[in-house]
Amino acid sequence: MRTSEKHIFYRLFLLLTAAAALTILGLYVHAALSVSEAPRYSLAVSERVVRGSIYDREHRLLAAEVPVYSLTAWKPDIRNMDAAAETAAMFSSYSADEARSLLESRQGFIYIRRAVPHSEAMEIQEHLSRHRIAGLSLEKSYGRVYPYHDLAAQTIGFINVDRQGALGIEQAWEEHLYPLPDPFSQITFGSDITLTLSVPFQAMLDDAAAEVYAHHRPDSVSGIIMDGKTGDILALTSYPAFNANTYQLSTPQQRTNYPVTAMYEPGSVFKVFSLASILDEGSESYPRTFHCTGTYTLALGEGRTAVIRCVTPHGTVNYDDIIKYSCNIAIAQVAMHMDSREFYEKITSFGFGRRTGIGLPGESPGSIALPEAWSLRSKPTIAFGQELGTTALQIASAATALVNGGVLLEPHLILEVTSASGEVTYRRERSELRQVISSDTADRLIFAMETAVGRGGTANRLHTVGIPIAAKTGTAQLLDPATGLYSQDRYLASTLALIPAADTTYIIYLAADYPKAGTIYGANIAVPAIKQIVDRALVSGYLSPLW
Amino acid sequence: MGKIMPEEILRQRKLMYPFMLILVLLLGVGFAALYSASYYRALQLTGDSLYYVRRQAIFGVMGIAGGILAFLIPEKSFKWIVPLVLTLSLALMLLTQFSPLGDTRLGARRWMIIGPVSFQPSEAVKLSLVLFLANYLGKHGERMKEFAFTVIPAAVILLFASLILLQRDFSTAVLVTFVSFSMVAVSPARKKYLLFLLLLMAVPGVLLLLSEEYRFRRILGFLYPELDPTGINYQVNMSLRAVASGGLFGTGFGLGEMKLGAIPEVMADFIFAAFAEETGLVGISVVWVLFMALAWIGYRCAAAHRSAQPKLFYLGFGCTSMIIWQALMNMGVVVGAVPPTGIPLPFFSLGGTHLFALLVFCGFIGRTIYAPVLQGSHDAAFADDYLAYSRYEYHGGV
Repeated sequence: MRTSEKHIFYRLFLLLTAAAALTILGLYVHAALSVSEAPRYSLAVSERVVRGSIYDREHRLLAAEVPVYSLTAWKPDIRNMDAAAETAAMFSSYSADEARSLLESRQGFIYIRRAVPHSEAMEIQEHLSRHRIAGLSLEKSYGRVYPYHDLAAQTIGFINVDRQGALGIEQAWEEHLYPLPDPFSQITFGSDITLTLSVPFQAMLDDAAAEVYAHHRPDSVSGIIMDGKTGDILALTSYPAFNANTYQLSTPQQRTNYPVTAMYEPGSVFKVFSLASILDEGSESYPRTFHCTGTYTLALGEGRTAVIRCVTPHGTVNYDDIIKYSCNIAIAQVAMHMDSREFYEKITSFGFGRRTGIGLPGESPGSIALPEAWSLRSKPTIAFGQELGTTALQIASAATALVNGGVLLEPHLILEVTSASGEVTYRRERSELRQVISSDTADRLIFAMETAVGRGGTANRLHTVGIPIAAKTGTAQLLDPATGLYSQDRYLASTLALIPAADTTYIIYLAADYPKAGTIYGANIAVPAIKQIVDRALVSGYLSPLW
Repeated sequence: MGKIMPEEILRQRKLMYPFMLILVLLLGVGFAALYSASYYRALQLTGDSLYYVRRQAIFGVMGIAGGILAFLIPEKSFKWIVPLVLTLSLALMLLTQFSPLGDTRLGARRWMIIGPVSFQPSEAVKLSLVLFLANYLGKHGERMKEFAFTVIPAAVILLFASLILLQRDFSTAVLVTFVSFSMVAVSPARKKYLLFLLLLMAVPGVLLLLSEEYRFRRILGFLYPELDPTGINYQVNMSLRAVASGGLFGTGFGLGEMKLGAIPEVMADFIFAAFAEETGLVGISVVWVLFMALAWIGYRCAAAHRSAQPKLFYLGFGCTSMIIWQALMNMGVVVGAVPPTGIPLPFFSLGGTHLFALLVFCGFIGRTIYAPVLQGSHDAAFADDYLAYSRYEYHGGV
């Protein structure tokens, strides 16, 4: 009797254990097999991270997350099919019957309606909880919005369907904007990024680029406005552009950030830097003036010659006139006096031939051959901006050396990175890279560039009452991709402007690749575009006349 | 005299082979599952994907040593080991609660930190309570019928359960109470006394249950899952989805997505969700079968010692119950059958102290398997040192 009593409890316990074990196994079988379609919880995974926003330097929103709701059903949780179908129909375009057949057609996870606006989502949520509709739920996710549409679209970038940054800052700063989920918290917020871009300047540059594109039909227009005192990029334009909100409709060409990724021969604009290099190395022993007859024949040895041409014979030119008239022959002659290695070192110390490290994907380092590989015509040719590859970003960056007494500044695109808690994790500091040329040389070059804006200069259209401007135009002959030779109709029209000439605040560079509407000259294409920007900046108060 | 070991006495010993095989399989699968569930977070936090596995392995090695010790300790040593272990775990619990050595994590003061080592004293309580009860119930046998003898173990259980409750670990308190009382229940103790004591404990228990808001919310969330799917029930909803997405064969080992952040604490209490997602119903069933086989061996071998070596019986019963009920409770939470609690899955969940205690439990179970099955109290003379017993030849019918 006693033993059997003891055994009863022992057996009862074992029975309880077995029953619990069987029940749990049964529940697992049910849970694992009741759903034939794997639920899409990857959505939920990504929702645990909220992507950071992107701002311009005056804290205007350039890219932001907005909540987007979806009405969804999780089939195993539906207890009352009638109520669920009725509710689904109430908040979607389905009729009650359609909603029911949708819910019955599939197992597991079902989207009933996507992109539910916030106000309606709240209404649905209230309805679901008031009537205790099990199995239906609102899933909150995020959509990316670019309030300025195509403004600096290639620089800001966009995110693809997998919610990964696919271009520009969105791609390059992915790990800050969209960090891996923090395993210790339900939701992780990415850092906010404040760019050095300024929407008003970007708009001016974009409009100017668009106008150039419309009137002169180039393949593309690159533009950059840089703060000469800090190296901040205020505007970076690549035209044609696209609307980041509908990036799916964009073409690869529209998505290319030309000023950063495209390398081309800069043409005469480069004379500023080559002349600066030559003058800085000490031109005391060089001739003071040169004679330009319109052509200059260069002996290459073994009877071969190369002919360098100017647009018109410039007569007797001094160093300043090289910039003012953009005389190829004079710069070629003076370059012949300089040691190749020194010339190369000086040019590369301006930053040509290497990436600026601006932090945008696909930045081109440009290209410049080592002096050992130069032919006899290389040095004079490089001196007027052919036979080397540069990016628009490199030209503008190099110009910081001219306006800062010879000190090259590091260009910046990111002003600040702020973590979700408001802590500033990165702030750009004005960083001087190196003394490239002497202060005197820099001032002399700026003076020469000012003469180019004066009467008879190539950039005289840029003359603005009250604001002294220094500029250098360029019309580079481009290679024909088909033949690999210099094309007869393929040119790059560009201009570099320093505004105002003394104590420069804005460095503007604009280049149109292969204009096809008659004129090909930087003086006719890029100069008026920059003039348009200067006028707008004057009207809107970003520039004030010096009187 | 013929020196023969009677077959029936040692027959049970053959179960050591399947028992060891089960242990090896569970440990292997458990470590693999832990690696799969933890490498992502380990990489994120330390850059070393094996970080958690390595830590767990250190405790595993220590646990194996502990298990071997538990297997070898002569029964007469229990006399001093049991009070020592009981006092030690009491001291640890008190130190954790009231001294600066205690550490609060995720809102619960359950850890104790001494130098580089941190551990959960509640695991020591599980061990020492089972040991104490086995010793006590085995020693007093039929005297358990008296009320006074029932009150003492009940008081000890109550003391430790309340200390665990102080650590805001309601589920472990329930588990420990349940297993301990079931040990008393299978003893000759009178059930009406037991029922009375249980009811006495139930009153403060329910009050405590409802006293903490989070506990109340968890139970509410369990009863009404549709109320707040992203809040209280978030983990359970996600783990159910994980099981569902695993289907029959799973997404493949290492390929699950749940561990990538969808389920918080996935490598601890919800590791089975990640495992289910990756191996499907097949993997779930294999693990279930392994646990059931462990239970069967454990309970069967314990029962064999019931009349002659009651201490071994209670020990085997308690240890097996502790492992199996932790597994069942954890699996129940993952499948949504039990309110979300902090019970780890034996052999799987991250937790060094837990693994150590688990392997010691296994050592004790091994002891009940290996021990010769004696028939009557006259055999019990050998029970003190069954290892010595097995070394010497058996002299016919002693």
